[in-house]
Amino acid sequence: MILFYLIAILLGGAFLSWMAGRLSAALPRIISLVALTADLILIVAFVLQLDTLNNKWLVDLNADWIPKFGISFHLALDGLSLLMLILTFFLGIISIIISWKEIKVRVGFFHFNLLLILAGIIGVFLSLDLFLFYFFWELMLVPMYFLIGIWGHEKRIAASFKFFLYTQASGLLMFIAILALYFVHGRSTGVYTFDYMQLLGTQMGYTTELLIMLGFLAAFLVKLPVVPLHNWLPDAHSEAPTAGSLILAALLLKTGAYGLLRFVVPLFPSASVSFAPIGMLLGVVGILYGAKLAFAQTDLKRLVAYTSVSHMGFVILGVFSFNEIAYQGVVMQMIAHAISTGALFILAGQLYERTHTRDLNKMGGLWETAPVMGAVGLIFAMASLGLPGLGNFIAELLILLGAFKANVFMSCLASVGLIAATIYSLRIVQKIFLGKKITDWKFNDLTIREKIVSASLVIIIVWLGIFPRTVLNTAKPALQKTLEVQKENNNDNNKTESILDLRFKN
Amino acid sequence: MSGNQFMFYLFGAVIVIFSILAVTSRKILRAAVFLLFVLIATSGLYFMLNYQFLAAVQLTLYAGGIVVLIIFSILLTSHISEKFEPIKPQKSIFSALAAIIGAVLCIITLLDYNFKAGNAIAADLDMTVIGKALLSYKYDGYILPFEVISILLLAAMIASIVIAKKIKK
Amino acid sequence: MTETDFLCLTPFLILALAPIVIMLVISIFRNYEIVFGFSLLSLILAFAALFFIAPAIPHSIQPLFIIDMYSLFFLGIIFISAFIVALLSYNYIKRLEGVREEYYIILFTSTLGAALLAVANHFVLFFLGIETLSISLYILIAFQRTKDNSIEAGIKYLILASVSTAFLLFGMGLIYTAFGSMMFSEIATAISLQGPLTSLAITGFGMMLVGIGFKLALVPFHAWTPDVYQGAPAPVSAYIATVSKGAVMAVLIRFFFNIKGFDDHYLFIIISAIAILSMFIGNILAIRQQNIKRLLAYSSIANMGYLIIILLTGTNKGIQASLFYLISYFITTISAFGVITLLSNAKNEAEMISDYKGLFWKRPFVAIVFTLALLSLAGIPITAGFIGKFYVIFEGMKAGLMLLVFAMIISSVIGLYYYLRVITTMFSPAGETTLPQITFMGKFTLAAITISILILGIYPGWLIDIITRFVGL
Repeated sequence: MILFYLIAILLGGAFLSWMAGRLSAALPRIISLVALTADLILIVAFVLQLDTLNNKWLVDLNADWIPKFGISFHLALDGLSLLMLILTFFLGIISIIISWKEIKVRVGFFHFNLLLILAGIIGVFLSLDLFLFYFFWELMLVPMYFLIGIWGHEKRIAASFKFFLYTQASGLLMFIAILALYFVHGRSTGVYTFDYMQLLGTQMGYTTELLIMLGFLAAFLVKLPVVPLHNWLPDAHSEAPTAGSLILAALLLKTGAYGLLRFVVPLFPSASVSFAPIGMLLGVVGILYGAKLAFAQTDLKRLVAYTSVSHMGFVILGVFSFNEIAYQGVVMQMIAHAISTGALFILAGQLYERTHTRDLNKMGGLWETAPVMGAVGLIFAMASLGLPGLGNFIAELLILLGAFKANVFMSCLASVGLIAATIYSLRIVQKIFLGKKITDWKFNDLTIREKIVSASLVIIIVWLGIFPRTVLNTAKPALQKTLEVQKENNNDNNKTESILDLRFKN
Repeated sequence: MSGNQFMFYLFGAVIVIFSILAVTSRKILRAAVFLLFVLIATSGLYFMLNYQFLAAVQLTLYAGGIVVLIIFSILLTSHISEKFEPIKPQKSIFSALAAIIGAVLCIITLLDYNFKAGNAIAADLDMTVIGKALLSYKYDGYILPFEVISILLLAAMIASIVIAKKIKK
Repeated sequence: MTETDFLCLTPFLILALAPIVIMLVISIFRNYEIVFGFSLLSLILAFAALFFIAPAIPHSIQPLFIIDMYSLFFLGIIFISAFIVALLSYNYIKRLEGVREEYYIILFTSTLGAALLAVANHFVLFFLGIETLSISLYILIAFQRTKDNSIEAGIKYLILASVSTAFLLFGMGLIYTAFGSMMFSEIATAISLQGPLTSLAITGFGMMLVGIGFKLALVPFHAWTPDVYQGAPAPVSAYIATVSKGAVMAVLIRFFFNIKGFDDHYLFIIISAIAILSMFIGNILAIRQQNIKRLLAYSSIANMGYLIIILLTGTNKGIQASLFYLISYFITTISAFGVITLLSNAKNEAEMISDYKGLFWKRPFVAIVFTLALLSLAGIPITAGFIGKFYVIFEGMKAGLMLLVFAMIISSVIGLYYYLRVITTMFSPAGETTLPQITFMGKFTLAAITISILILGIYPGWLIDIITRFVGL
């Protein structure tokens, strides 16, 4: 039941803060903060009282929803989703703190949308029923659309449209694929169900498998995003308010990566293997192309947005390497990228609040004015370029190691991305904090509230770099299981195919 | 060609020609008069089929009643000299095309169909039979649709009153 | 006629009696409130009568009527929709100049026509029902006759509806020629005896489809829809979109499933083409509209396109899906038009998208209702429209209609664009337009509808169970 409470607390908090918005501006913030902290404490306390993290499922909740279609309300938690959940709650709290001063209008409705997005995200991370998964997947969209469309910057309307249409169109393709999987499974076994556990290992022809997988990939690759489908991302990221950018980059993109790990790989064992070369290629293209575009940007938020494209390229490269090292790297990358890119967006938000511009050419020499801000910026720029000792380094190293086992060529190409990352990351620092002062900005350095936020992020990124074992061990059972299922079913399919071949020969 | 056939083609020709004239005429009063000929010719077809009752109804109600009403309302509400605006050539070409295609399709299917002469006696139904069937409440009686028609007419009457009534200031 | 016959006709008798009583009341003492209250009461009575006759069904009154669970279900949703439309009309009609009480008389005759379609088992009743409905609609559409485009809409509907009726009649004639009967079940028997459909029969069905397609506003018979929706009073537009279309759908489904039209190759192609055209043309033309009523008109064209996919599934489950879809579409449409109705007054119809600028900040309640209605039309989760679409796609895929399902997906993404545009307008900074206050009753109605949209969107299981009980497996 704890999983249900986690979602219910967020939903309840969402409505409460909307209502409270009429009374005062502070109340919704406090309510949201309380709701998220309660969730965080609840999940941490729950995990601490468990004896072992090695079980496949730490907790499982299964109830009927629409039994006629075989749809159930099935939530379950494993190591992977546990990490994602903690990340979500933590960044949720951060996003509320950073928008404390930034959001001045319609505060109640803002927090309503924020909590609703977070509820959708943890729903995505927890669902083990494909229909429920799609339900939560779509639930994130509308509030995110409002978040960008109402509180965003100048071109917010166009950006929110683009975001919505891209994700909705790709989501519908996934929906068709889910239904197709449902019918294929139902026809072969007689059990019509959307339940993930039962759909694992569905027997289907290769072409069917490939087509259905492409439906899933459409949704996940758009969300991730992968290069030809990334068009919505820079607009949405740069036009959203800071909290929106933070949640988009740090959490929403991760739902795509999570979907690949949780659904694409185990559900379509043989098709995903045959897609692997293309997948890895897309990853490499994403890494390099994202880096190149990041370098060309003058808008700070757009720049950071393109670095996301580049970093997510590593994720897809890792996912299609099919080995444990790469998968550990993927999980690490998901978390480290969430923290580092989130921090950069927060930085961009803080700068915008003070200078009212996101144009890099108008900044420069800000180190003198705001040394603390500069230091924080430097740390996360270093994280972004993969400096050893910080989380991203571990992540990218593991992914490259894993990818090297799978495909040497791709792995080598991808490592070029590290150099590109160095260039664009240093460019951020150089353009903003060093160099000549172009305009004589006068503003305060970070306030205490902002210092607390930045400090906590810095601590985490360093922690990830020095003690990656905490994360890796938590995710390990889940990842091993995923790979096991993938291997097992892949072999199964080969067996059945070879049996068929024999029959033909005889 | 027997006399019957001759009459059939005559009526058919009258219907076709005057229908076209009625819809193409730009003077509304003329259109109404052309319509009169169409209706009369139709009743002629009914007579040939031995449907005396239907023919009589067609003649008295449609040709006699409704056309007269139409002419009256035209005379009361508009100027006879008024002409309709000519239809845009583009529109008329399209509609002519659609009509011709439709007509050709219909003709093809009708010619294609193997019509067989039925063995039902082509005797006129007695008026009393029709009347009794319409008002019969026994099995296979038509009292219910008859009642529905009364509601339909009620609706039409109220509708015309509502639309025509003066608005009091 | 037997007692059971009379019993089964109770709802119709109530509907037929109500206009006569209202007429008498008007002739003695013209009072808007009394007429309004009596109308609501009669509709409730008619609905209650459905429970009363439930034990006696299935019952057929030869040769025209068939009252079974299916028709009972449609009667139920027709009465409820008419009730809500009447409720929403209260203020709108009250503010009109000239006669107002007659509105309710016509509302009853048209509802009677719609109800007859739900029980029709014979061309005669089919035709009478459609005519009673249409003749009443002519006047409902032109009811605001002081406005120019209202009269224009009425005349447009009158002329086009007459033409479509001519097609319908001709089609019926051809089918009668081909099969020698006008009863649905007898036609079905004749078809099963004769084997594949002759070209005459297909032409007949095609002609009937023209007539029916007109009433359902399917492409290419849709040209009247935007003008009529725009010119008609807002509650009447809601009425056309729901009761009128629902009733025609009821008879279409019954007829089509009786004759097993989905088995015929040509009919299959024709229906598929109409469905795909309706989805795309409806959604694409909606994009450029500045007028909300026109936008909803195009959206309804697309929605009907989605719905007729069900005709081709050829299963009872497909019918269940269509019933669910219809219900979700009904409440959503009524909710959308309800907002327009309540925000309009006699002089100023709130029909331009720009009128809704910043509505969320001025009237959050109405804006949320409208947003949810639009999201439901677009088929976004947590709304009834999502489950409705899911159900249709589900049954469509089960029947292997992949092309149609993909057309539905692609066109609904196109459709999303204009729904979002309206929503964005409502959430943008406030404009200057002042809109009238909404009465408590109006708020209450809207709240009830919106809650039901959400309930159906989040927990639809119970309604699906009910539908299953009505249509069977």
